Amino acid sequence: MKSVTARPASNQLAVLFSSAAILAISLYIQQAVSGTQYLTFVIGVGLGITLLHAAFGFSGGWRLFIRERIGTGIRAQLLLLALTSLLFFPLLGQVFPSIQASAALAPVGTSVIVGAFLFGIGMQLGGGCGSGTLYTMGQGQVDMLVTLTFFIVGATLGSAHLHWWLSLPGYASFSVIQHFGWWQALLAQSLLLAALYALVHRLELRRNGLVKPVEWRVPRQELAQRLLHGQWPLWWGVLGLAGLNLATLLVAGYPWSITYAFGLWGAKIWSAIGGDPGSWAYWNTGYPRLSLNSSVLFDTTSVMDFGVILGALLAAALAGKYAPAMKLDGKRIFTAMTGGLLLGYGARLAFGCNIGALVGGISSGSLHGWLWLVAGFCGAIAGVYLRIWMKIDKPLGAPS
Amino acid sequence: MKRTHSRIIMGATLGAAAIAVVVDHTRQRLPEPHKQLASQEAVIIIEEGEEIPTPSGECGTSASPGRRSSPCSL
Repeated sequence: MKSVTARPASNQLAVLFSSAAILAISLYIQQAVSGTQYLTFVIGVGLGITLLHAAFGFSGGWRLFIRERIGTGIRAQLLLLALTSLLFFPLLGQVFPSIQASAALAPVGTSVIVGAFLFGIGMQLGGGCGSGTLYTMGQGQVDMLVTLTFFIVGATLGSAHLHWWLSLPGYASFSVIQHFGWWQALLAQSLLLAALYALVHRLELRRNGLVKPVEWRVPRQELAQRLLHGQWPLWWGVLGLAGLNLATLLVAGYPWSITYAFGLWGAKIWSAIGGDPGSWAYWNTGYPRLSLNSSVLFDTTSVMDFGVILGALLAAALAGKYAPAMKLDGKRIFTAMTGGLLLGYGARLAFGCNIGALVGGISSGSLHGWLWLVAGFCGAIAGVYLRIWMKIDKPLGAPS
Repeated sequence: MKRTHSRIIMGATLGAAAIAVVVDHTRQRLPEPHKQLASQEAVIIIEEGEEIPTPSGECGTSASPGRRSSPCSL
């Protein structure tokens, strides 16, 4: 075990800027929009801090497991799914009738399979998922700025094509809570997640001879320093993300999602430069039409995304990790562009990313979340081989 | 890329994004309160013998601006 680590030097200017920005935006949203929207912004800030301090990502964890059968990240994600389901299922099963909350339900069809597969490839090429792109961008990684820009382009293109994809074979949305009852569905889902956890554990043990636990302890003398400056054990990340996702469900009325906002930003930019996204079928329906014709501060997902970016910026500054020096060559720019496009297009087709569809869908009992997991993981395997083919990574089994 | 360059690029990007949000918020104000209410709930009247619509089974129709009723808002 490591001894007491030296306190990282904070980036004071970035701490000052991010704190001032968070305070000013909070006050403005509270006054000009609503108290609810203010709360969702604050929750977003908390999510950004949690994601960065715990370094809680999906794409890196999946790649590490596919390449080297190191499953710490995936097991943490399974714990997150189990804990969030435990919190969501009773609420969505109307155990507390006074609480009005909605599940992240979406159709189960071709668009989800294709979209999640493309998203899985995009995760590996772009270097981040929905949450990962946001918080690493907030950390000041310039390559993720390229990924996010093309994420927005891809999501906008996806919104133009979604109605065609929805005409392909598929089924209506399916809620396991509505069909089986909340506790029966929770029991079955918990068993399935436990079986997946055991499978990952077994594969890891067979390949590597040992299994690294999902950490939760820190030495007592480091507690305050680690809480403020990071790095958090993965278990803290699991608890923080599950708790803040619950807060989102209670405050906003639906689970945390990220990528809807990217399509909205893209459509607004397209509209500002003379395009007419309002003529596309997607932006001419229900909530998308309302949000396109309203201030961006009206959209909860956008406001939460702003919070995540600023929260990650604050956390990175506190940890002394803001705007790291990095190598940005032509190949990295190319993979960031193609990865971003695939992430955005895939997320729109699949009704969300790893947060809105995978975590939100599965934790609120939507079958499309499970379909997303299978198709997204297959896409990630394809993405890992693409990285080897493009000579970004060494071949499987090669000494590192 | 040096750390200073990263900071300049990120600062410029955040500044541009902030200006874009301000411009958007100025051009397109918040929806009227009755529209906000409509976005929370949608009442659908079903004739006898008619099938119950499943708004979550597709992108939604122009009849319902409800965030909760549309998977397209995920």
